[in-house]
Amino acid sequence: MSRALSVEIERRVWRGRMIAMGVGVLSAVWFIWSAIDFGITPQRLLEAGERLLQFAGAAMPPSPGPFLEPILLALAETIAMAFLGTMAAAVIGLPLGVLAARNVLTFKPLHFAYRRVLDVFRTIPAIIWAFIFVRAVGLGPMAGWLAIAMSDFAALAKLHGEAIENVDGKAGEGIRSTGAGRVITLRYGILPASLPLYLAQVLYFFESNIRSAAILGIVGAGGIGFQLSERVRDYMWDQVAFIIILFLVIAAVLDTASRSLRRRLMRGA
Amino acid sequence: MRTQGSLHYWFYDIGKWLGLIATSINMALMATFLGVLAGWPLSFLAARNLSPSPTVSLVTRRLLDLLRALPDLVVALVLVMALGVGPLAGVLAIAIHTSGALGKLIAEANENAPMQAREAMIAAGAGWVTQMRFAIVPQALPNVVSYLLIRLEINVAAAAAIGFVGAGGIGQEFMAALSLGLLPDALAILVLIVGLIMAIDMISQAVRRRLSGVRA
Repeated sequence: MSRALSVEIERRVWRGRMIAMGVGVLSAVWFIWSAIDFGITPQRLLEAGERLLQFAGAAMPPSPGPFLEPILLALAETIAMAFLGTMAAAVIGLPLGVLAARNVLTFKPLHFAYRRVLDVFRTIPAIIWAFIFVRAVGLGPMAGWLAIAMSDFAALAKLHGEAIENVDGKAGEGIRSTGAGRVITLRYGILPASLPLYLAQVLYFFESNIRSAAILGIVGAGGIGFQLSERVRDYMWDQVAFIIILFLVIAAVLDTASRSLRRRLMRGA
Repeated sequence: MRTQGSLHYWFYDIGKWLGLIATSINMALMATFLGVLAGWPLSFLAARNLSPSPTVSLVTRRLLDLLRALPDLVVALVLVMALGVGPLAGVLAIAIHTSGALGKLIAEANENAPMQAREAMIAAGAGWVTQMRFAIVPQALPNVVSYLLIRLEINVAAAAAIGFVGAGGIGQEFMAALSLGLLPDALAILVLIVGLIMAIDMISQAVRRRLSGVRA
């Protein structure tokens, strides 16, 4: 190896080390500054640890207390919220999704503007909609399912639009050649191919909405989250633990159920 | 003077609110950092073909599932009772969820890394930690970075929302305004939160497009 090359290599290694060190120092400064900003002190962490141990002690054994029935009812309410919200979003998203397809709404500026409007609705999370609807329709599951519907219809519309764009155009062409209008073409040439895809997405959304519906209750939108947040505020830790375990079991069951359902659907396709 | 009904009047406290938005973003950064710190090491124990023993792998995977299944808002609700109101509870709650989610994804990336480099290191007598560091980490790194960016995006939205249970940042200010009945303030903050989430969405889309090399 020539001397010049080895000097060059040494210089590059040195420079790499300096950069790594600089990044390290900067992140350390950022970390310490943030820790101070967030009020993280060893004493506070120790106190919190003690309190958490107390909570854990009070949570043993987890039990629903005298409230087994209301808790199970709230769980059913959560699932109902997710179902109703997803169905509403699916029904609204179906026609809006047809419009979201590039080959249906062919006027480009309008298509672009329409997609951006859907994006706005898509990015606002369900929990923020839940706040708005709790104010508008009061505490309870009504606010919950409306929030789910509002946060999902645009996402479903976008997915349906993409499904329609990817449909093979030959069936539509064939129907058009017989003199059929646009609506008939859509109905018999495109939707039969796009609907199964759409349905799969709706199922997937339903599953994830059961999870998010459980959270919406924390801001007052009914269901199991409402029961949970009330009990946390009242220090009823055994019931809190019971609800959390119940939630984890439901999540695990959902996971297995949807995985096997999806596998079966894929095999059928 | 501020004219009643003007934007200036509506967003009279914009300086403070933008500061709180910055706090929320910093909460997301911190939570992502802590989550990776916990989740990355666990991912090697969880990977089926890398783990020291099948039992360790199984236990770690169940642990990651558990961390992932707990919604961050629920964890924050409990942590606020232990730590008091403020951003720390939010950071820890998001970090817990992040460690589970990232741990699982990185474990899968580790599992899929080609094994030749590791076999060569085993043949050379390297220890387990050395094998992971020099044979697996470099091969999984591109995946890890992209998972990290997506998580960061998710966590910014989560950090904005987690204040709703008193866990710091802009969400907490929203709740405070709401409970004081200051509806115009609450709406102004809501507009800022939605703006933040949309901005992050667009930025991460642009970054992802650049990283994947697709020009659109």
